[in-house]
Amino acid sequence: MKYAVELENVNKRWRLFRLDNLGFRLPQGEILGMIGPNGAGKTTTLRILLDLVRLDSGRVRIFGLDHRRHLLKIKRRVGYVGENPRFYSDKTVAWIGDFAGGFHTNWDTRIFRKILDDFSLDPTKKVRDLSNGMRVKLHLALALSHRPELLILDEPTAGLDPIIRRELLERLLRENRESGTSVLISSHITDDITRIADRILFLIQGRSVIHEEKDRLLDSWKRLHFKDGALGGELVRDLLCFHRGAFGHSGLTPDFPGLFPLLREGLSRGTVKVENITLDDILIALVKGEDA
Amino acid sequence: MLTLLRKDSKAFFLYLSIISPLMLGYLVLRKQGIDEGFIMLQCQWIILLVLGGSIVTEQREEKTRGYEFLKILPIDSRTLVSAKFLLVLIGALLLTGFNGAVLALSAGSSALHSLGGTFLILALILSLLMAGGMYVLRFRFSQARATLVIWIVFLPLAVAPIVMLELDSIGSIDTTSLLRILMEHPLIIRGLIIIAGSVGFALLWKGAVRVHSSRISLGRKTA
Repeated sequence: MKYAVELENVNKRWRLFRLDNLGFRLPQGEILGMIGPNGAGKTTTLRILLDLVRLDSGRVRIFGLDHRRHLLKIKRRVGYVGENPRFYSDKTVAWIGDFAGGFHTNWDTRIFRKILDDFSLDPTKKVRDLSNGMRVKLHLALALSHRPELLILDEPTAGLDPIIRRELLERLLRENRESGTSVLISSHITDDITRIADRILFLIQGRSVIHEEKDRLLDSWKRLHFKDGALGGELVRDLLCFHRGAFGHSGLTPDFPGLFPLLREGLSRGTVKVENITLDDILIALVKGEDA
Repeated sequence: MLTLLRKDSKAFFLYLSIISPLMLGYLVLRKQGIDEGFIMLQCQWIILLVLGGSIVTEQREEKTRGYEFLKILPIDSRTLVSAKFLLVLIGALLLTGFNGAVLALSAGSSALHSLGGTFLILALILSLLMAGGMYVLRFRFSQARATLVIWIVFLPLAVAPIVMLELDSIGSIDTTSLLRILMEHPLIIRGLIIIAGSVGFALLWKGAVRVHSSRISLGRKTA
């Protein structure tokens, strides 16, 4: 299998935070959603990929190439949308496109103009007059106009209204399906990740806690509702986010398929019920564990 | 490289084109031809404009958050720094050429013209070294700190020739012998200035490339 991104034992230490032996792979043509609380290391990880932050140790390969030795080649094949996109604020949208195009050998002005048109972005408008959402759209237009093979998106939908968010996500999905573009996206908005990602990476305190296919993850993690005595004590102890109630109890399990044989009887009697959960629930369970 | 040059050249040359005519205007009003004081003034103007032009360009880059955008584009430090240094070089050469033409067209003795030529070359080299140094400082620290340091260095240089001429006129020091040496061996002196200056400028370019690459590695403290 070919990988768009490979990280092995990546370490980066700041004064109050560190990435700890981080490792994951993104197969080409897939979308990986990176989820984690504030300060988990999502932005640092994404910036390391383009050497915007230098790692202390470990190895990063993009398209099989060492990310530092082949940085220019990699940047030509990658589209990057960072947090709070910054451009020359006194320049127009069209100027920004022409300028960025001057550094990409496979820049396509028609694609740039088409995306501006799709996003209703006025090319004659100055960057300083654009709203935050418009700037993100411009950044995405810049990231897509050289036909990247990999898109790295750091919280691209943060602070955007639902309509613009939906537009952006649809655009990403279209790029992924039509051009086979791999996408690595981080977001607090887990709904967005659920909507588009093939794989999920949970990053907590600089460590990769879960890296799993989205469907398999959501099939494994379930919330169990049960009455007193319906589950064995050991099984209950292993549940996360356990909640004891007057009429019944609930808790999360990360291994529903493994527990299924033990639950079959309760399920058939109706003393155990299973509920699907969201990536938000999993994130809270991972961060707070039994205390949630 | 051309894209980068195009981007910066507008602000840089706009700055030069606004300030330079003032120099010409001063000469027209003066009418009496060149003397040591006028040559010193020309040199100061070259240094001031080249340095000021590069500082204005960098301040604009800082104000518009240009470097944050440039970092994500496929540009290496060598190309970026080369574009900055090339712009300074072109600007300095144009200004020196302009001042050289003003000097050549002005009335005055051949010895003064020769002295003026040597001093213009010296000013060209000094302006390049100071602008190069500014870029090294700018990539190492912040634009504000680089500007502060460079002005602190520049001000004594700007004032020194005037102070020397004043001290000479009241007889405290004798600048004549220094000027005589420069007038007697203009080619050797100019050659030495150009060689030393070019080596210095090349070293500053190399240093700026190195500092710029490592500056990227510092990154922002963010999770």
